[in-house]
Amino acid sequence: MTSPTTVSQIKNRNTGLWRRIKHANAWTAWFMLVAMAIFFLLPVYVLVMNGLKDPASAELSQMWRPPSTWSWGGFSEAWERLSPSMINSVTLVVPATVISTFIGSVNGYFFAKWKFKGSEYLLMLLLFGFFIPYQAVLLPLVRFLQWTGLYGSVWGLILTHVIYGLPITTLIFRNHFSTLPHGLFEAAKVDGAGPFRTFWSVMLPLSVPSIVVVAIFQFTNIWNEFLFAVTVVPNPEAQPVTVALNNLSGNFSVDWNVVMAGAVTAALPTALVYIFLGRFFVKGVTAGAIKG
Amino acid sequence: MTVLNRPMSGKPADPTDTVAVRVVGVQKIFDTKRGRHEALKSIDLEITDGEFLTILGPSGCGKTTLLRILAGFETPTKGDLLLDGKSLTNVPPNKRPMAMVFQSYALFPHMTVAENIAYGLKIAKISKAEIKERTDVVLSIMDLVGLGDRLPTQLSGGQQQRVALARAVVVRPRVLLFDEPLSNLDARLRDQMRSELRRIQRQLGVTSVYVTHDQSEAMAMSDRIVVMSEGHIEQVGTPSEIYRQPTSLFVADFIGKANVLTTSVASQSNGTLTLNILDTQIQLPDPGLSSSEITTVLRPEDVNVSRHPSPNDHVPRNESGILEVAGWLRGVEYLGSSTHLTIELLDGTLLAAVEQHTALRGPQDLPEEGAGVVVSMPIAAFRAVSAEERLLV
Repeated sequence: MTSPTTVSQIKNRNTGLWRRIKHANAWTAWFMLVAMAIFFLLPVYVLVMNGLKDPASAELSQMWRPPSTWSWGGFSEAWERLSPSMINSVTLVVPATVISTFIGSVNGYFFAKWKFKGSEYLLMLLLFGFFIPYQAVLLPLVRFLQWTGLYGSVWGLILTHVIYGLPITTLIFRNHFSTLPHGLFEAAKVDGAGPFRTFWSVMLPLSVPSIVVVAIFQFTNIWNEFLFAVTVVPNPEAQPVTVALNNLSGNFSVDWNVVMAGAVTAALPTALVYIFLGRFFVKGVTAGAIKG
Repeated sequence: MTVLNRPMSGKPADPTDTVAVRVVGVQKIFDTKRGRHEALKSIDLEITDGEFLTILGPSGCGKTTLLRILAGFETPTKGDLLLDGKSLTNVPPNKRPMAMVFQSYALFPHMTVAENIAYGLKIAKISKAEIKERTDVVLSIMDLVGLGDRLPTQLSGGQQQRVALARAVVVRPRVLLFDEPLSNLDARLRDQMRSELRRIQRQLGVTSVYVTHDQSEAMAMSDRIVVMSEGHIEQVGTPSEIYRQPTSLFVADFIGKANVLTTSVASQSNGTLTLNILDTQIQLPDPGLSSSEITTVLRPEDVNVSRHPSPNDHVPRNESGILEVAGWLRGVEYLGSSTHLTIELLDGTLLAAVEQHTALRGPQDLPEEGAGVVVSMPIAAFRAVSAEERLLV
């Protein structure tokens, strides 16, 4: 071990040794990151490569090899069989995301800025919803939806996802709104704005990053969800893509190229959402906006 | 000026004017984790129409709580607020005809300067043409012409301050509230904004309540000052009343510098107080204080210092309205326009004095440090004040 003094001396002199150590560290870090990236991208590689094979060569013993003959057959068949349920997924996910993001933002606003007696306890009760596993509510959920007449319809599934999303969307928005300066809220009040006007014209425009985070989160979660989808909507015509994807491999023989291509297709929308909205993740709109 | 609520008038508030706001027995108790905290102890106050009233006090004296109660952000535990004779108790902040300039300015960062100013007018459903007209007028009054399309972040601190003021006056509030609006500016800009703010307030004639802990700000701007301490009002008066006729040791000490002299009451009759002070006796008009808790204060500028060869032989004298006592000059601090002197009297009392300088009378005319001196103080400059224990912090 070198003592701290020696290290700082070396650093100060900027000797060749220290430069080499720094370089070596950079190279090691780079190498590790590339290795991790490859590791995490392996499933994608397998999916894409096998999706582009013909049915005969898509088999376990050759799964790591790229296709010997490239074929779009897998993708076109997957698209043919999945596209109706992709549309089902869109009609499910878009309203569910919009509604749960909106309700979460209203909830979060009131929990952060209009505290009333017992509001903290109410929030705790709401957050308790995090810890209830999906499986635990399946039976009561189905009975409830049957009772309301929503069982089997996409609206039943939307309602389920909106309610299950409330804890997380409320929490993210509440935390965001409590970081907004209280002065802005009071300034709006003094200028004559009521609670909803303040929300709509001041609080919401300053919340774009949080809205995007919550929307991406909800979009991804609801798009990928399987258990509620398969339970609440038994009708194959109305099922979302996760269920349809599972059904691709349901019969006697499995065409692996179709299954793989189908998985890539089903995952595409969430990837696109992230690519197009991801920059808002890092962008802060209110940063440094209040004082000069 | 027809766009603004009042004709231009440079005159200060007339004391015979009507009362705009009446604060009646307002008490505020906060329930905290460490128990109940009484932030305001039954406050009574009348705010005259058109006046510039400053609430002054050290931090934690309840001045901001009082302002927030006026604005409606806090509800009084007890008592009532009357605006033009009508109770405000059940009126939420957004329904009160008041505007506020915040310490942090609280400009909406996603709106341009013009949008910030027009926000309250839009809510009041005023026509687009009138909004434009009124916004343009305040922009020019505030010297912000051409900045209407900027975002608040693109402005300097002083400009942001002016936008905050513009936003408050454009809605023509009945009462304008200020929460330490100058405390985020640097010293030079603060002085400049101080007179600017006062000018605009006079021009609009709007009733204003200004909260600050800065006594020079209060002295320079106010028609009247309310001095607060520990949740109650110590004194209300014009700046010169507060400075020249403080009623308590706290006020005398908080506003400007004051020599506090130990005093005992020799007699008290017919509105005259005879006090034992510095080995002699003086007579002062009785401000109506109970005799057990009286002390005497004297401003440093009322202490005149001159050289004396042998202070030890000097006998305290009280002749023709001047009290003369001898001592030694212990400290001399030259500050350019004036010199601060510290005198140790023969009985050990320390006295502060200020000598103003001109081209003709400079520091060279003062006794040197360590010299024997005699100080002469006009009796009329002494002021008997109450000196309750809790105020001697």
